[in-house]
Amino acid sequence: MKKQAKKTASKVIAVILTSILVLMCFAGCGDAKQGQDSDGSTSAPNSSGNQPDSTTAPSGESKVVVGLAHDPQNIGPFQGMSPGRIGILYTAYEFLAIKEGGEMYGVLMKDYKKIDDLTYNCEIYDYIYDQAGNHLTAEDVAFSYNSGIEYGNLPKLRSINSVEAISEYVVQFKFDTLSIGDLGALWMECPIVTKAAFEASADQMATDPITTTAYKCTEFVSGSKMVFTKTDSYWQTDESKLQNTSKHNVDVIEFDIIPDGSQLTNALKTGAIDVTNWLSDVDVEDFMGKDGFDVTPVPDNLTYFLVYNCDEEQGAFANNKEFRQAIAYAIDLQQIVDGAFDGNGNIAKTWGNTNYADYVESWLDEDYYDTDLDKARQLLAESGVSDLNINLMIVSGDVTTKIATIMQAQLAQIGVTVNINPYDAQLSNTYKYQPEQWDLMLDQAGSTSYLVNVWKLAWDRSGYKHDGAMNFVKDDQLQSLLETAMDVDSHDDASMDAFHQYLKEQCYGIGLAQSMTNIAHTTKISKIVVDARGQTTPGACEYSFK
Amino acid sequence: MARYILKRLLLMIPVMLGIAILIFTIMYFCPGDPAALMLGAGATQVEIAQKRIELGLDQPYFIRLLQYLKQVFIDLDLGDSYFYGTSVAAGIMSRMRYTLLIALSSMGLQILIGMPLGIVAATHRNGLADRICMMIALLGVSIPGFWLALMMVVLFSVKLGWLPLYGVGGIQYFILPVIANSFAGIATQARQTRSSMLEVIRSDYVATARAKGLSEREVLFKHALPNALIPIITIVGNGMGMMLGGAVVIENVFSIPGIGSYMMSAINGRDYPIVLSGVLVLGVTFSFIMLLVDIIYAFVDPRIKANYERKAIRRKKSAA
Repeated sequence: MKKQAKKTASKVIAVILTSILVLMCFAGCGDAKQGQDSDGSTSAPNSSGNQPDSTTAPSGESKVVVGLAHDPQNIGPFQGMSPGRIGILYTAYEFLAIKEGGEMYGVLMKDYKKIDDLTYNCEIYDYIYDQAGNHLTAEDVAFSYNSGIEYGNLPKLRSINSVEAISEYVVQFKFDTLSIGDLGALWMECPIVTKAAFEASADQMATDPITTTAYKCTEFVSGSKMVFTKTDSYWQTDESKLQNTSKHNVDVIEFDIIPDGSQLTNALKTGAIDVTNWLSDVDVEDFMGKDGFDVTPVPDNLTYFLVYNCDEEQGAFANNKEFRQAIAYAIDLQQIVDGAFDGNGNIAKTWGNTNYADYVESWLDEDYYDTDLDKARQLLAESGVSDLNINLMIVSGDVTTKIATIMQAQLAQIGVTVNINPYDAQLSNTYKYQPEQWDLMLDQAGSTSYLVNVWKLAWDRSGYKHDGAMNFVKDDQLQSLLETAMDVDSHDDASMDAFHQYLKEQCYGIGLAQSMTNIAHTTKISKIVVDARGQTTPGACEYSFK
Repeated sequence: MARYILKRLLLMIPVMLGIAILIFTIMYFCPGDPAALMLGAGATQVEIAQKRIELGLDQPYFIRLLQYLKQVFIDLDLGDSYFYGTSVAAGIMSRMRYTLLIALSSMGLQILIGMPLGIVAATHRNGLADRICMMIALLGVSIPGFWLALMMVVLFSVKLGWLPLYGVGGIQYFILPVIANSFAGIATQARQTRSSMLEVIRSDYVATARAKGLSEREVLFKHALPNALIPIITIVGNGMGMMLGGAVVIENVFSIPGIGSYMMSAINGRDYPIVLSGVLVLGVTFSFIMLLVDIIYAFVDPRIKANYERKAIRRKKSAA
């Protein structure tokens, strides 16, 4: 009898376990109780289970939770830029200046004065205090910049010759070289902290920075979350001088690190987070036009481009303009925007996009290798190329793979066979300097200042050890035109257009498309505000707390 | 026994050295440049080259290897992260607790569920219970941990709202990760236990025990199970290695800041000090676990213990 009872019990346990397993297998199907409507669409978020409600902090303060896909790990001021740090830097630190809508505005900087071509004096406000009550002076600004140079993780600071305080509130910057946009980029590059606070920190502010912002880091769980709480003693009390990065419209900002894409989507659906700009285009569709959610598209600074290997020995496209142009004419940019970005993007009309102040409007009406398969075939025949197998190197990812696949199909129409070689970002970064690794390269580039600085990254030969441009081409005229466009005195529409026309004619590389960053958020956030890098600035967003 | 433990501990030194050299060599030849990543997309090739010199990445293989071995084994310093500038030892210490918590809890679940399932299956051989248990075991070894994790999240977090989606905090944050991480282990454990038990149940001494009129419980737990434990313990030991490895994926899904997610981001960023030290620490942890398993053998099986003792007596005699 007892034996029989045990036998029955074991069977019951086994059946229960099996049922749980089967339930889990069907978890993705069927009716939804929370977060999803029966048609599978997303409905208004509600805090799920034991996940804390993101609307308010325990003390009743207003709170916003931002989902990050990458871990900043170290929020120290001089550790450089990374996908994780880029999202939190403006909440954690203040800079001398910031850019909004293409214009530069002082944050800590009250004014600046040009002394000569390579010397500038920067005056800061005389009433800046950090969260520990330390008075920030010119000495602290000089300390921050010199530390940034010493750590070597902020590459834009390399053009600085010296930084020194010449009075209590004036810092003098001397530069080795200065191109257009460099000055603004330098003001925005280095987080400013007081020397006293930095030296008092046991871990170089890696986990507990003392800064001048309106938010103090009150909780740091490495690899998990960071919580910033509004202080009562923010130094800038004149609201007319508050830039977006200094605004403090919410009491608590929590950054949650969620590397898994599907988990990020789940977190937003359930209201565990309020906003993220790390969702894929496919996942973003779940939140478009759905009750309780909104999606704010922000034009990306970055432009996808295609570059031809013109290395004299290894390059399939060296000294063969017809071959390069044939490829360009075979590619349909609108198909790329429709297929890879679901239509959320703009085709490129130059090596860059319209986000930049020095973009020349007339380019928008120009022919920029508008698709013409007949012309492409004719140019291909004129090029005399017999080997039509080419290797396309891409940084692996959903969007780049889609773009590459679309281009592969388009080029097949003129008889060119494309082998797609996807590599991770690091490997691609190594291979892009090795001409034997690729014939065509698909990548993206951008800048926080001017379009000419996007060009500089790719085409300025002084930035490359092989004395060629990004695609190994050594074209003196291209370099000369670039230098003219980069020069502070000659940077104008004419010099920009001259470079653009020459690059277009030579077709060393072409811009493809500008994508949109889709910021998905709950309607708790009524207006999304982004910084110069296109990242959400939680303190400046507008809220409708219930 | 103490001599044996000491010998095993000493043998771990060349094992650690081997792990260090092997992983350093793999990382050295692995393409990718941490300097480029540190400086970001805006850096030129010239700036990247300067950073490589600063980091010592321009040095030849043997010099870098010797520097690394000296740093780890003589200076006892795991170095600083290239990317985050923080101490790798501190980073590992702060994260190891989460990984160990998941791995040990998963191990506990594996033993608590896997063993009874195996015993039930063995004692009901070819019956309904056996088939159900083995079906669960088959599913366990077939279902990838990350998929199971995501399905459980959809059910228990998104739809039912019972458990948190991600992060760390109270015990509720670890329920789904531990179940997902242990499911394959439970299956393996159940299959191994069943197989060992079946072998033992057919033995003469078990038949004798039954013939003496002992209850089925006494036969199973006093006579059969202790003799079936050796292969089960081996599976538990190996399973711990799998749990530590599996935690990498699970930590990523559930955003748990353990050593796995730490290493994952380091591998993507070519942050060599973290990868090298992480593998070394996991290797040492696993070596200790295997040593522990060997010691447990001696306690479980008197024959093994007697073997150690006989060797010690022989050594004493020959010394005399």
